[in-house]
Amino acid sequence: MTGNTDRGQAYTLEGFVSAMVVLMAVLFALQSVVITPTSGGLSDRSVQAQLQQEAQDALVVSDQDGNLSETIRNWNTDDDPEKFHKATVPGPDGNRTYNTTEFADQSRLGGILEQRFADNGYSYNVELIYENDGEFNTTYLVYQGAPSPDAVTASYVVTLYENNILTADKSKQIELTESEDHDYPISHETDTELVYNIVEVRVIVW
Amino acid sequence: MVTPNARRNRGQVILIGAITLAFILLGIVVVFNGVLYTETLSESATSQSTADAEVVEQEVERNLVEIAHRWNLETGPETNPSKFKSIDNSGEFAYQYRNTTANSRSTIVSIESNRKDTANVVRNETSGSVNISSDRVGSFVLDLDADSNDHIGVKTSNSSVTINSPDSDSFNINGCEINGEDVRFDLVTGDTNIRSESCDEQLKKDLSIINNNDPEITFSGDLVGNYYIIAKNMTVHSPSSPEDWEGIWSLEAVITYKSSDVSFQRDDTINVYGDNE
Repeated sequence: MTGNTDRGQAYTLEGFVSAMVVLMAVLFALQSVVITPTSGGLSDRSVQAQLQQEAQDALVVSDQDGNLSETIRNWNTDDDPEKFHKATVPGPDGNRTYNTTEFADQSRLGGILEQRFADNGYSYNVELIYENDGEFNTTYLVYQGAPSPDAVTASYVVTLYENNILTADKSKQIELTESEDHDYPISHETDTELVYNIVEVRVIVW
Repeated sequence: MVTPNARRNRGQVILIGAITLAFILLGIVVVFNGVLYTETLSESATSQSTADAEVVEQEVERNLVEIAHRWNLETGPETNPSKFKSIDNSGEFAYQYRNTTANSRSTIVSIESNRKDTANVVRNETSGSVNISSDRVGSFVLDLDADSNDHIGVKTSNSSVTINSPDSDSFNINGCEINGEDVRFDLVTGDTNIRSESCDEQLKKDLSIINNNDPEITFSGDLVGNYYIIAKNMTVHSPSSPEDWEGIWSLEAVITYKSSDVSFQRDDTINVYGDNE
């Protein structure tokens, strides 16, 4: 009888040990597959959410005293190929765009984006999206290439008014007159006597 | 009597039981992880939508305030004050803002706004000595044309500033220069429509001399232009009689934000000139 009891205990222990071996093997195999929230999403998504929030905050802060609106209106009216003031990089739409350093020199938004993102190895585009004859067009302030699939986006809407002045050329109002053809890409879209157009400033970081 | 064959059978049963147990435990782990993952995804999307809604609300309020202020300055006495197409319910701003936001996000933003409280708006030429008394000042704007060696001085009970124009295309305030033939100075906020390239912060500090509570403002000088005052219960003493009309002191706005994750409606009073009534 004693021999049978010992054997039973041995079987039980053997069962537990084999269960542990199999369990450990399968768990080890699963570690190589993206399945847990920590490895699969939480850390990545936290970083993405953080980046998005920072880009959004940069837009909100830079609009506090109208600087974002001035950045959008920083347009040269003469024959200078640098239509956005002191922008030297050829952009995808034919207009010249800023590199990150130039943009930092020209605007508060650029300063914040350069300090937080460019200096830490991130890339970003800054786009202006506006309505033109019922369609939405895009002009680039900063263009660093096509965004990667995991890019994050933040946007802020800025209203331009008819009597706003072009920042780079203080003598000219944004509202186009027949004698002043300034090629400014954002056209007058509303029927009101106050609002010129509404522009979405979109920052894409990756 | 336990035979060797029976022992082998027992061993197989135990092994199969152990493997089954192992898979059950694994199943529990996988399901639990799946739930956590889904929850994390869902939470992050919802919290981001909340942040987006806050930004939209801030954008709308900021734009409505700016449009109302500009409407106050530019509408004039000839316009029917009840019709302010830019910001009322059928207004272009609300329509275009909704288009713009819907173009970039899966949201619909509806804005309904109407004037709640009226302000007195006065416009006149900056000639002679002018004295203004009021319960509360919302905005005081000087729209001046540059001219050689002309100036204008503005005084309140606590502060004063003199705007000089040394030539026909620039202004000078305490050494800060602004290059422009026609410049707008807001002496409440300290803003100008053309910035000084050298001393922007100092200029803002020097120009923002008027508090909302200043009961008396006087100014005189020979710089040509117009002044605009937006205030409550205002009396103006000036050599020529000014134009006056009813403006917007505060707005009643209903902002509705709807997305797949967040939906809210805010019914609020927006004061165009600060939080004071």
